Amino acid sequence: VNGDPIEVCLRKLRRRWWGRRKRERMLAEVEDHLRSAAEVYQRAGMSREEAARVAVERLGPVEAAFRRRRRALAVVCVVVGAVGAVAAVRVSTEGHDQASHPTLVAVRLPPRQALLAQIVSRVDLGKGSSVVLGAPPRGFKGGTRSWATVTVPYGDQADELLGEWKAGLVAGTFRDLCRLRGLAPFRGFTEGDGSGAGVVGAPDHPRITAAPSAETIAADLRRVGLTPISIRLFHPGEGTAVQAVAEIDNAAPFLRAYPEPAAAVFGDLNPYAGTYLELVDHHGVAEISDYASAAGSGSEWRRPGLPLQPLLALYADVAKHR
Amino acid sequence: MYRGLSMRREALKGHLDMLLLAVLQSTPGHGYAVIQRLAAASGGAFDLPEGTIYPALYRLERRGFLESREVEFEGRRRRVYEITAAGRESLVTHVDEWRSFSLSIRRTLEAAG
Repeated sequence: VNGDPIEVCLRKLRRRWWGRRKRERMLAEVEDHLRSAAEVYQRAGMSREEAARVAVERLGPVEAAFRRRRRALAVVCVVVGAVGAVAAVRVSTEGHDQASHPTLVAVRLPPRQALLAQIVSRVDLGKGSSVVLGAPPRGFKGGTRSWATVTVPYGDQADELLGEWKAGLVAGTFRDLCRLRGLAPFRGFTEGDGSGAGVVGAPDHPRITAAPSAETIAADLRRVGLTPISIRLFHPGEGTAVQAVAEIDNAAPFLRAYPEPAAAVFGDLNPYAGTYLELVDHHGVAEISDYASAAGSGSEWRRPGLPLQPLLALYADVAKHR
Repeated sequence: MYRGLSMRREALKGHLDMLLLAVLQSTPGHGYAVIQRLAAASGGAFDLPEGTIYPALYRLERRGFLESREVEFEGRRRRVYEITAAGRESLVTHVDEWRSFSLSIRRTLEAAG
């Protein structure tokens, strides 16, 4: 893991910031800021490493500052085209009014659209949510038909990411079940920031991999000074990511010591890609692996308020009838 | 000391838009340059976490008070902000309001003292 404080800060922001277009702009701006500041501190006599560390410290909680400004609205856009299916998670930062969209009623739909409707019917997207079939959202490139836009509003504070998780849940489940049903390959999904420019056609998801053993996870935890109490591995269903929940004694010292805790434990290139991993202590969930978002619906289920059981039943049903 | 700094930060937040427009009114600048100008102009009195100015810059841009463009600088992308005509108008209004408010406070304090 590269220990340069500026690189660590940028990696953290890159992985935790949703909304591709705004993220790229913000990351470029933050990088220019940090490197400019570090140069000033170096000229004042600091070592390179010290200058970088102070630059990051003085930047402050930039992610939180940006998020506080955001008007939250999460949207999943799914393309069902002739060459396969592409889904995009789209996060609007401008608060576009989607409330007038009608609720999805799925009848006599082609298989992929019907599957999507089944998924949506099992996910409680919450009040004010809607699904629209038809033209793509404004700014999205691609065909003009067979798009579904799922709009999930959410709050500004502690639950601000729940809408995005739900959006990811729909897209990830759609991907998994397309695979299970033998429907056209799902080419991946990505996030946008509401501008819609250039977000469709994202690279494929990483392959879901076998989870590391409990012994491997325990050893990795001990390596960074954590004491595992229990490690549970859970495989929700065929085609889904494995979930690993590691119970530890007290996460606080570890979280303070490492600016990027998950990477500190699990590394950047690691056997955990495709596995959703949570660290839990007596206060609750302390950290999740950043790789979870690339692991499909299995990675989303443990998030608070998400509907595990109805989707598990759907997975089982699809597996039975394929 | 801590309380003074904290109060100054809180007071600054309410006027950040005006201050950002002010330091950009004569010369365009990138984010870090804006922070340096703010620090220099205030004699180091304003000590906000530096990241907090970016949402403010974005907001001013969305409102049409600033424009930005990306340039290449030493191999990295740099975004430079420039005040617009609407931004100059807004700044004049803000400054007038501030002067009026500041004068009222001073008169009140002098009368009370």
